[in-house]
Amino acid sequence: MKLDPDGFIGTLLAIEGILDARAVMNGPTGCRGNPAYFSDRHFPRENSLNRRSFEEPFFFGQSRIPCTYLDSDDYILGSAGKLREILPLIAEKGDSFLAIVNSPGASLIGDDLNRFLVEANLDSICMAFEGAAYSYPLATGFDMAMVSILRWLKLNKFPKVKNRVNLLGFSINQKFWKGNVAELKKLCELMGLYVVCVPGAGSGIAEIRESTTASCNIVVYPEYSTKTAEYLESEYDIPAVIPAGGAPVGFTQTEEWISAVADATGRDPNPALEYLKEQRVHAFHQISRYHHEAGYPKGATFSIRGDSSFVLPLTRWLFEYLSMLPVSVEFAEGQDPEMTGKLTEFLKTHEIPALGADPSIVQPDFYFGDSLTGKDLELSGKCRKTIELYNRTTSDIYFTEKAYLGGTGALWILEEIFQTVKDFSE
Amino acid sequence: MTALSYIKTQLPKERRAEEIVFRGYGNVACVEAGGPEPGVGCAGRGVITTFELLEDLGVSSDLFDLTLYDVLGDVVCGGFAVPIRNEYADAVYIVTSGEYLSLYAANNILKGILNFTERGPRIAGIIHNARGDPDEEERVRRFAGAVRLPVVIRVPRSEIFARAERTGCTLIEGHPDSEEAEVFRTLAVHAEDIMGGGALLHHALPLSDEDLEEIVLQRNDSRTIHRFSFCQGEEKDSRKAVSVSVKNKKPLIGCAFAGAVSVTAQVSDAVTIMHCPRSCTLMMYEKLLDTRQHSTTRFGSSYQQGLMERLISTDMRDEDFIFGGEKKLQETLDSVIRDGCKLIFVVTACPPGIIGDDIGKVISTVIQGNPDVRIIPVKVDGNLVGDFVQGVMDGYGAVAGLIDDKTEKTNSPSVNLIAEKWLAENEERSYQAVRDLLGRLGIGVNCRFLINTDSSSLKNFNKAGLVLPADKDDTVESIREMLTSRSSLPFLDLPLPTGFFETKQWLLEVSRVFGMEEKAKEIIAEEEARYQEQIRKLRHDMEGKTILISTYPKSLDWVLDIASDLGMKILKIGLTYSPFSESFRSRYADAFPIVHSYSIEMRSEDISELKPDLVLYTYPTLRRSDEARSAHIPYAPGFGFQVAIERAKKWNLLMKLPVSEGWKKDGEGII
Repeated sequence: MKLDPDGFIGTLLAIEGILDARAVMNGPTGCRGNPAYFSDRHFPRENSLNRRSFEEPFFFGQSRIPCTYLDSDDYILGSAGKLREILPLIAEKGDSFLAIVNSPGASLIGDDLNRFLVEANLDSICMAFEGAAYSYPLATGFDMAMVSILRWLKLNKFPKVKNRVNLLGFSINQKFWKGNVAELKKLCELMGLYVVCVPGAGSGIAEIRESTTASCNIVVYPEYSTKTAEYLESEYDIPAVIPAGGAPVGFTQTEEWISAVADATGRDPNPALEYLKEQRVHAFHQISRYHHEAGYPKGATFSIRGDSSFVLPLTRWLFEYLSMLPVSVEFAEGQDPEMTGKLTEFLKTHEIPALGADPSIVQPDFYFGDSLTGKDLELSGKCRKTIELYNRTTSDIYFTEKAYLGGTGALWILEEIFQTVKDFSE
Repeated sequence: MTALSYIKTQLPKERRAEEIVFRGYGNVACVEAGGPEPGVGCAGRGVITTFELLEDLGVSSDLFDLTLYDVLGDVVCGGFAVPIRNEYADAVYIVTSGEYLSLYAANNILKGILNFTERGPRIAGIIHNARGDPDEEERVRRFAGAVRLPVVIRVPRSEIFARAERTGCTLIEGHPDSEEAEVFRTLAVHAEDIMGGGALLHHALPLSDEDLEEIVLQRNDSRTIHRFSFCQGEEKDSRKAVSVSVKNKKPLIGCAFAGAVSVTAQVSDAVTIMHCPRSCTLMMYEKLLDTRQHSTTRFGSSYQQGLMERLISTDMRDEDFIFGGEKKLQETLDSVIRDGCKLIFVVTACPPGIIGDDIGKVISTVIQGNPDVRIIPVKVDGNLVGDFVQGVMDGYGAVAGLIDDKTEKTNSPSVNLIAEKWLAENEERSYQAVRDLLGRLGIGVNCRFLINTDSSSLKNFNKAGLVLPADKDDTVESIREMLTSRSSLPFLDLPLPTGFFETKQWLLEVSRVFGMEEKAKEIIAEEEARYQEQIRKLRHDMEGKTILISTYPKSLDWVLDIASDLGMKILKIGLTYSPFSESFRSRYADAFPIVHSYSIEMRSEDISELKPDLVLYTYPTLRRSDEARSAHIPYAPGFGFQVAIERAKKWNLLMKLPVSEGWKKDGEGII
């Protein structure tokens, strides 16, 4: 069983990933608990100590994603009463944008959500998702929801401003999303590019509205943003660049990414490459001092399950830079065919039979993927270390900003690997 | 290709409008919604999905001069009402024959439209689709008059429609010069007038059912209603364990699906198939795996592997909501059986319950080909039957069916444990403490009903001599009730014990059942010496200190016992609302003020006025403005003689620390 969240969660996270937006669930409390806690945990916006009680309607002690707590009566008679009650309360919170999302069960009632929004005088700031991509990949749900949001916002067509770009495909589901965004903003800045908006990962509604001033969209994770990029291109003439090697994971892949972005935008890549070079040198001195006769982590094995645009560069980098061996490679659902094709070819070229292998059978040293699976492998004695690629409601806690992307991300991945291999190297 | 069969076969990102929009006669773009097989799935959801699909694919009304939606004749649910929503239909024609039930449906459509009246009148009129019955003209006329709508056209009963159908063309195309074609041209002109503002639209003024009968059928009788009387013993036995929230119609916290899966997942050699969308599955994995993993990492319990292989999802999608999920369920069952599983639970989430998937039929079909497999349905339908606690009860009920009521008690002394709290991460450690205590008496544990237990252990439930409930709450009472048909084993009237006093009483009671009192007294004497020594050491620090307790209703006597032994003073017990329990029982019920419906605000006031040395709480934590030291009362504090004293040592430590941690002052400007 693969523990990939689905498109319903993707829809909620697309909304919750907007700084000043709030998802409202038309559904039972059971559907809402996990995503509500997740959102508060990974994109906190309210003081967590201002606790609410179980008795408070709609919020039930959690600050994010209030819900209409549907029960069996509502499935038969409709949820009108609760919707009429919840909307004014939510409006008081002062968010710039709201979106009501039907839970799987609520989607079968057929309530006209827009009617209630008009009644509550909220139709100018609140949109309705009467269905979501239930059981489809999270990335698909995220992408489709983002397109719907952009369409609903009716963005203005602004004149394009040179050197302004948007970063597409980031989601608060991704581990260290904030650090990753910060790292890519820095790389862009070094190339003289200003990032206008990162929809679904920290940008507010004002920034989303401003996104149509960008002269280029940089698609970091195509799984999460192909439709979004297509929409912005067809409606607002903003071309998209999709770096061929996937996300900038690892030094070499980040160099390629920088060059691809520089080519597409006509900017000088050298300042960013210089910055990266410094990090490479720093890594060299650390590795060379640890490196000894046994050669670890050379030969250490790893399994990976993640988004194809992340799996491709990470697998290549670990193999080429550290000589680590992939023993199991799996793609999270909703993969990009370009990325999977390239990685399949890569593995074939090197005669590595890792594609689709079961990590619990090949028992790697490292597992890159979701932390629940990873911890299950660890505690079952089937891997030594999990490096989690996705956020979870119960993820590890970090106080300093980490990243997986760019040079800073490469250093962090090295740190994780070397902290572990020192305990099992010969 | 209909819109719905298209979404069934095509992934969302690959869908294209050209695949479902076809060019018909007169350059009309035609889309057929389609629908599920009769008797399965949810056609209403199908209507909604078709409209969403058209929107996603950019097929909007703006592209056409006129958009016509041909809708089923009765607005049976929200889904069927979608086409008459404001954003779609500017005007609505109601097609009806002169039969009473057809007019009844027409009246229902008016009721439906009345719910969508923000934009003023929208009814264009009635289209009388004549059946040729005597008096029908008159009935339609009376109805139209009563609801103040015009009859725009009368379509005569004619064989020409069937002829056009047979040749696969429209009436206008196949028989342009017919009288019937002229009727439709009249309708077209009327529609054109409406679009141009030349014809009136009307308000929906539906009739009450009584008025409808009187006007259409011209019947006005007030016959006496006779109620059906059941003979004694004829009614179905409706006794069923019901949770607090369901019983009191309170908001449902969590869902029965999650509760039931939490229970069935504890049967270690069974697979639980979750008939649900993926998001429900993930929620369950997080809940159950987290508990197991933390039980190992935090409390050192051995890791229970294999859960991931035993929880399987059918991953229901929107297409399954529309077309029914039975096929997917059957495929999943077949696959699990192929993998060698002999015991399977099927737990249902909201969608299969709402669309009416026939789980029993699927199971019967599968079992026919696999008679050695046992499949047990747990039809909780998400939260349709209730909250998490309700699901737990239903889950217990399903698992109880595995108990063999013919098994005889064995000679070696053993007990069954019931209602241990599997979501408590320290539960395995607590269980070890109970097992050790019983072991000191020479008593074994026969079956844990229900934590990580295999079906053979459940089958042999009746081999034990006594049942030990983990708690004394509604859940235990429900389990006791549901077990009566499977087992007549005696229940101990005490919950598993926390703290010295409870453990002493409990051990004496258990030993009495097995005739081992002397051994129990020896153990107690030994433990009492240790306990008193600890009390003596702590009392110096804690005697005279005051405690305020804020808790949801649950037994806290172990807290009150230890506080009493340490000479601490309880100022008040405030009972907050809990969706999980409703009664508060205590041996100290009259010893302190007990306040019901205790709010966070009331607690803050008490902290300010009573100035307790320590606030003990279950939920929620203290507010930042509350100037008091505090400690959490754990959900499952553990069992045994020394558990409470260990907790008291922590209180003692906490009372030496600053009232509030410095970081709590920095919470402003969080973004």
